[in-house]
Amino acid sequence: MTALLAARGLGHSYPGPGARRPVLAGIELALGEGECVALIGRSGSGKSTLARLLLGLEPAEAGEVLFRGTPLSRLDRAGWRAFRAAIQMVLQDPLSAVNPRHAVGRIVAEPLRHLTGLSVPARQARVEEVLATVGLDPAVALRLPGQLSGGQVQRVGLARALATRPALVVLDEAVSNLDAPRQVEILDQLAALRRRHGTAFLLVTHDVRLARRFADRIVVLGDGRIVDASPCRPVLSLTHPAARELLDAVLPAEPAEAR
Amino acid sequence: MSARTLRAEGLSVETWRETRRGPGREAVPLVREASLDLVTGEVLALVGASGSGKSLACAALLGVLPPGTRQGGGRILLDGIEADPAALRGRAVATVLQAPRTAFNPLRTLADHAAETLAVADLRGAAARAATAEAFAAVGLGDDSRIPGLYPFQMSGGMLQRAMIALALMSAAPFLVADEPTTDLDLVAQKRILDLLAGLVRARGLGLLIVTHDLGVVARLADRMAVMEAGRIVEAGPAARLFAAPAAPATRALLAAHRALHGEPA
Repeated sequence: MTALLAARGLGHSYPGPGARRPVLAGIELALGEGECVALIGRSGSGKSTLARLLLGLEPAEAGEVLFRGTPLSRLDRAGWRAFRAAIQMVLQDPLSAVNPRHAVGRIVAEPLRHLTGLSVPARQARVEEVLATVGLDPAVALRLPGQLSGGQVQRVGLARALATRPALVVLDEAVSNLDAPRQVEILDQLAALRRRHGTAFLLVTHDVRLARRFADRIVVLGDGRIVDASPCRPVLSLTHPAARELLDAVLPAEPAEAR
Repeated sequence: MSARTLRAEGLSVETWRETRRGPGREAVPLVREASLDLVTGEVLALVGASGSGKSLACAALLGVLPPGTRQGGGRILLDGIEADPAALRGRAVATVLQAPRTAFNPLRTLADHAAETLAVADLRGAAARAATAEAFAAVGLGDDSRIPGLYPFQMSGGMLQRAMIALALMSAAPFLVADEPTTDLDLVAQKRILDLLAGLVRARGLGLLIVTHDLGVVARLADRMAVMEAGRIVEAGPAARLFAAPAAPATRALLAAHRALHGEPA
């Protein structure tokens, strides 16, 4: 079966002092329709760069990204439109990802305006629907981002990503900065979405707890390479030192005296 | 003689808004009569959901309330004697903040920052260099002689947070207030910073107030915890007791989410 999104021999580097600094090398990754994968790694392991390449935000130096079997480099204008509507993303810092002068309704409708042929009333109905999906009152459509809490703006970003009914949503540390009750709430809402619409997710995070709770399998990035991978159930089995380091860093659930 | 206890008593913080009818302003309470007790050699965790007033309570304790807010009441007692927060800052109480990158001057090296901190305590020249080397070694930055010459942009978030803790140690203050010190770090860097703080509390008998929304941090580090909700401290006591038998609904809600993330039955 053709993967929804695949990376083949992906490599990338950034300019550094003197020579270019390699950040990714030899990445092989395939995301299936409706699959939920967590990409974990330390700060600087190349997670966000890989997410950017998978989203086609910049062209990879080596290898290629395939969308339902077609390399991104061969997509025509209509192909890019279909790709953008099918693959959406939510970033870590919600406030910097929205225009502070635009009302929430306009922010959420933006991908609909550019990527779909929906009429104005149909767009409006869709905005109301996705706001409800992420647990926001439709009345927030008239508010500005600055009038909402951080957790609410993060949901606005999520609603915008869901507006085009994407096949895959990439979440780059999109829940890491929320407090635990908000994290659990959002992950549960996303799990419900998966069951209803079969949406696939790529969760990029350094927090093994979130990965384990949400994903079908975990892929570990270390120094720009995929160093380990394992399904989450029945048991997560990761052995590479970079993976063990992340697992061992999970803080205890209970204080020592109560354990 | 070094201080033993630091008590914030009945702290209230408020902002204000125009009244709906007619001219005038009305106060909007943000922190309501919050009391915190810090003891040297102990870790107190202040927890609560986002927006519960944790950081403002800390800011009131330190006398650094942001513009648009004012203190409505309360006092600070050092060993039972009322004190001015401004006089305690950098002497009896040192601070470590959430985003280390914004806390450093980007045009100054780490050594410049250390010299500035030590000049407050009238330490200069060879004595200052010795104190700097000692503090950097204590936070695990002593191995590489190039580190003091680095600028903030040349350092990772974890290194900067260590450097900020080193600067806090140089003040030799018996109390340390750390507001979400590891929130911006990845989990591996977070664990190392928490291990460092726990070691410093043990080795130097520091009294640590750590503000966090992560009960994992509390479980790792805290002797006692205080839970805030809507500006009030709704429950306080030994961390082990609150984990085992939470009484306030806010504590129960935080614990339920925390345990759900750990994959345990809530």
